[in-house]
Amino acid sequence: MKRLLHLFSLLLLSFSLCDITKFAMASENYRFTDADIVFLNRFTLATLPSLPAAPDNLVADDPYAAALGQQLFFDTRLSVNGQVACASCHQPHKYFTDGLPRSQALGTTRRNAPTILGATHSPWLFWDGRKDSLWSQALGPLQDINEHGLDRLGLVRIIRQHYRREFEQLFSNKADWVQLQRVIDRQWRKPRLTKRQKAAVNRIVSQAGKVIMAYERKLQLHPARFDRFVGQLQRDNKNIQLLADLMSEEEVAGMRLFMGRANCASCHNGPLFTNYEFHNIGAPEADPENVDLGRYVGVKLLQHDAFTCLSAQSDAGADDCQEMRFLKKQGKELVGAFKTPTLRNVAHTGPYMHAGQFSTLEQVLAHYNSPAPPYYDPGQHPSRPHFDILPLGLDELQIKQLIAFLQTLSSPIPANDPLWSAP
Amino acid sequence: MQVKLTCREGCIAICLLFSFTATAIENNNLLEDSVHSDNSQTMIRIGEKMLHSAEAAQAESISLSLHSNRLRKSLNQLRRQLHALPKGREHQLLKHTTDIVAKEIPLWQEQISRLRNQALEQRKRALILLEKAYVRTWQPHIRLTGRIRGAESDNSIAGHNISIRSVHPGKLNMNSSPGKRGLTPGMSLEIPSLSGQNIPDELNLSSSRISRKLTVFAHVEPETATTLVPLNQMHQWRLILSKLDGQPLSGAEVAIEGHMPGHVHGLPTQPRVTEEMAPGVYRVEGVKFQMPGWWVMTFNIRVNHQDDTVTFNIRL
Repeated sequence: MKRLLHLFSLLLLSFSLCDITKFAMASENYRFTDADIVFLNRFTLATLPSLPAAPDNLVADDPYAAALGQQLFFDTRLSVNGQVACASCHQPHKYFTDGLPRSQALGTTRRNAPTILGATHSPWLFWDGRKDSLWSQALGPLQDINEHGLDRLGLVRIIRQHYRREFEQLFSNKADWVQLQRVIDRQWRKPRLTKRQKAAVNRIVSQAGKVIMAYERKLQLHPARFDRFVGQLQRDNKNIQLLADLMSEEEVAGMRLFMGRANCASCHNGPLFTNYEFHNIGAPEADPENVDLGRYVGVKLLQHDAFTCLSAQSDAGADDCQEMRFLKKQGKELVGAFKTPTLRNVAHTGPYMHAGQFSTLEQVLAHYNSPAPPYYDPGQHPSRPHFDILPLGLDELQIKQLIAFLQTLSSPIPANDPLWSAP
Repeated sequence: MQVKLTCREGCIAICLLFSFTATAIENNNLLEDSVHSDNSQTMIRIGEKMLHSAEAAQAESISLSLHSNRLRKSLNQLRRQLHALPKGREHQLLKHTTDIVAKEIPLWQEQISRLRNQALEQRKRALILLEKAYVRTWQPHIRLTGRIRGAESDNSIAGHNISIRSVHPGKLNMNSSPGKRGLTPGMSLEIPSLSGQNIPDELNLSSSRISRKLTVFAHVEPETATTLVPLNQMHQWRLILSKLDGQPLSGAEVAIEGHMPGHVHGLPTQPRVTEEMAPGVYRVEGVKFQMPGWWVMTFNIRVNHQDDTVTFNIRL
């Protein structure tokens, strides 16, 4: 009996020893220096700068414009078949994405619908950055035959039908409506517009974009577990229990990999986990018959776009449009490069890559771990695409940890925020 | 015949040796004088002379190397002839000549390396002198002396594609060593650090430089309140161009390129000269650096169909 007791106590001792080493290892992972915390804080929403100035959109911060924009955003009448709204592909409960590889509206789009959350902080919009403002971006899908399928006059006609009073109130644009009255009433199917009428159409179209932008600018991200974890580190980095309640050991290990060994933070940095730049990471070519040249075409489109910061529809002076004036138009690194997407809410915004080539985060990580070089077709590519990543050589456990960390970037969907649903 | 020629060349070399030593001494005296001189124009004149003298020394060292190579070829030929000759008086005479030529070659080489070092040293001192003089001449347009600095002194900032580099698909994984990372002091996170960028220690970071073909003196400085370079913000630079004699270089066409040697990527924008504010003083707009590290800014300058290039190194 005594021997049995002895054995039992030994067993107990070894168990507790095991626990202690385990705890010591865990607490090591949770130990961050002051410099670590300063570094990590640069990734939190607390350091998100205030909304960038929008000199090209005078109503960008007008609450009335935002309310009107919200109506337009959710209005399916703004489409050829009356069934497509912005919100069809940018659904609030999916973090303003649609969960599809490529969006389905009137047809199938070429690329994946990115989230709108945080988009106002990016100097360039769309995967290829072919737009330089949210208001100009909003006009793209409205006129795309695979999305809303409207032409400019068609859009103006719908706005007149449902929102003329609101537009007149906000933009005092009565003269434009009068100018277009006849053409909308009599010949909207086969219009022959004068120069002045065309200008009036472009003004109203851009105003529609501007109110939608005013709405999108108001959408806010709420702190995710990662943000709260770093907040706790700042308040008290000694209380490991409180830290462990916010992020598991696996997630913390993943965070350390994300910031270091896995190189993710090289491009996915800052409070929105993006540098807003264009890179070619060799994602599989979605359509080898018609390769996607990404930013290379994006800069060409920007130069011919009728709704940029430098255009007649912009409210800005030329001096305000620095990004457009000093646009980088050449460079081999533009070929097949796409904008670094935000990783906020990434666990809920799949499929991934510009054409939804990967359906899971596991597939994404597998690509980064041993990437294939970009597809190259000398007949279609102007030059061999640059390849901006290097194989990571991570093991399975590390990949699991990284994916665990990515889950901590999900913000809660606000239950009672009126901006997150149709007005 | 062959032997006589090479001997004559040897004599020329020895004469040259004396003449260059004399020039070096003269130049040293000039430098001493200039240090005491407050007159920028005099400094420029002297600096210019030194620079040209350095160029001449460099050119001479090249021409001497050609002669030296020729001499070595002749020596090899002589040795082959010697080998073929039967032992006797003629053999002895030829051997004597061969020995004389063989002894000459190290002298030549010594002279060549001396000239080369002298040229380098002289060029370096000329540039220091000229830079001082130009900065004085261009007051009050020049606010910044020394190197260009970034506003963000904290290098641990999010390492904006620090480890990203474009690679040729055929050379996949050439430069990568996963698992090996520079640890940043005071941090337990193994963040992408600047250590992987291999910035050479002896990098010339001066904001004032002479062009490659020695025709233009250029100075740049950020047109910000503090003359510091803001990270990730579009800002302006001031570019000052002058001829070597200190006179403003007006009406120059300037093309600007910027890149990071460690990353194979360029600037995120395309900066350009938008205005010549005063003769030789140009406004550069659209400058933006998206990450800390070693940047190289190249200004390709064209005046009257003549091209020249000035390069600045910046460590942000």
